[in-house]
Amino acid sequence: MKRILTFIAVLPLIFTSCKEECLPPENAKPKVKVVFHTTVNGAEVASGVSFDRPGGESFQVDLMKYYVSHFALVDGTGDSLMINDHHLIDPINQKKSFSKEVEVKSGCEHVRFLLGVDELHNHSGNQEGDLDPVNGMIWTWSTGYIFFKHEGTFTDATGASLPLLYHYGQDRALVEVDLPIDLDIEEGKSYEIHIDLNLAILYQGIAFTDNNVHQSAGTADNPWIDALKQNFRGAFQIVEVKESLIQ
Amino acid sequence: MLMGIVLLFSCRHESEEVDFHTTPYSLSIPHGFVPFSVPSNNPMTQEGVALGRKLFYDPILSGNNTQSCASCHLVQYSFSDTTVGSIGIDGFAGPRNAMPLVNLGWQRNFFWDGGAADMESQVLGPVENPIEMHEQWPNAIAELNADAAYQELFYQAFGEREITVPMVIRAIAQFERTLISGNAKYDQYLKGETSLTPQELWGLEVFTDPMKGDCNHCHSLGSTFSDFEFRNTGLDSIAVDAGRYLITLNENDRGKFKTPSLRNIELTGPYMHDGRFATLLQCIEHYNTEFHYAPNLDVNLLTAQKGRMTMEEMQAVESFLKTLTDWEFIQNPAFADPNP
Repeated sequence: MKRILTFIAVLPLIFTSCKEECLPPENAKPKVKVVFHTTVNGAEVASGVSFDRPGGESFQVDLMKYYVSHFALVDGTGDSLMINDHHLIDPINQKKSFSKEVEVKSGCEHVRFLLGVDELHNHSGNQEGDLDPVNGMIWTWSTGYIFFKHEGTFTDATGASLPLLYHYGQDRALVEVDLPIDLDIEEGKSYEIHIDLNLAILYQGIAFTDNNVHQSAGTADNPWIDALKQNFRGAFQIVEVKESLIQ
Repeated sequence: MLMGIVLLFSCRHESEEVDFHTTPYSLSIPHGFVPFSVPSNNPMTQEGVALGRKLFYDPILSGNNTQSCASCHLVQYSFSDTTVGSIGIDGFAGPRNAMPLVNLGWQRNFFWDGGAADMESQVLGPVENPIEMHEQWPNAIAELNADAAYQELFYQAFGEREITVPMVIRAIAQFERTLISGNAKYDQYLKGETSLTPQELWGLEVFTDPMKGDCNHCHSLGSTFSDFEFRNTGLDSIAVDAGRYLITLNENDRGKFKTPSLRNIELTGPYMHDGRFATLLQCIEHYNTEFHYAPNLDVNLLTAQKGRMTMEEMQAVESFLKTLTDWEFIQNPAFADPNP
């Protein structure tokens, strides 16, 4: 009996070492990890931290979530390497990255993704994973996903503290982001692409005072949606690409 | 010895797989009805329907565990209720009348304003609406996951014991798809099993006469007695409730609401999206003479002559509408509360 137990204990080690021997690292499929940093000029947002902004206002983040969809590396011919379908970024709760094993691909010149949920998936709550309605990112009275949610407070120029509630969505709000990159995806290597969403740029030209509650629910929200949509395109930036051998 | 261990592991694996199997649920499509399709990620199963029925009647989905779906969707009223606006768990009345739940599989866009694009998504709203069940989905899911009996039922239906929102809404949608009514007196008449009275036949004639009732223009004869389009039916000159506009933000949709089914209409008063009419005759009178010329009034009413029906003709239409009542439907034991 003791021999059997010893054999069972050793069995996983045998399988593990066999797996390593059978698949040399240099032939391993490449892996791409994408990390989103949500910052104000490089300082990561965190609950309870106040950030100053032009005009004498400052703001805090209690809750911030947003969807990144159809993230792809695209070469010069337009051929793409899909990294994800839909992913919910939740920086306050350290949910900031996603990764995937991919095929080799040389000459990647663009990173392209959507801020939000594409129209095909935007109008049903009957979905799993990060689109599961339990994440609180869906309007239940008018089926559609909240693409970007910021709940917190802001202090106006007079020092008054007021609520800040931005629920950004609707099909018209979907943002296509295109960032330049120069990258070859090779066998046996892993890559980390670090992308910054800078809230200082996102909120550029958008005063919070008298403009602090938007739920994308009426036509009155459209100028705010259009302004944010424009700013989103410039608010994302690749800040670092790391490359390492798969160990 | 190694072979023995391998067999041990493989045997255990197979027994776990054998534990989970579902039994397909065959929808009972009435004579003359065209079958409807179901979402590919939510096939009908006996286990799913039974679970959905249990959830439909369980107050566990409400904030204080006092109300279930069935609190406002009572089977004896064709899964509607008799209030103008149903009262939620906090004692507040909703601004709209509870819609009956009948022949939903043939419908599209749910709620009076079509805000829910599919039946599964429709389940999401009432649970979180602060004037209805006033619960947060994460709380409801936590309560369900704390119940071992529910975990077992979800495993039987979906093969997973960790309960999620998609599993809950799929189960309830499965049950709701079984709420099929197709054995009203009118259906029996079409099958030659019974005859309509002269008054009812006259009502059918007025119902379909383009110069009289012209009701079937929108309440098309058939499985649903509706085309489920959104219309402004002139209830107000200036819409009090913006209706479909709230969803589409298209000005042309202001004051438009989903054309409801007329099946079991006798049981589902009060009528209209805001429950303003207590009787069927009041509804018919509205379409005969009382409608307002709202800016986007439905074209069928815009071109209709006011006062085109006599009182006798309206009463005949009312008689015909009552032939759409399916008494077997509301007494179907498969639709009753399964909870002890």
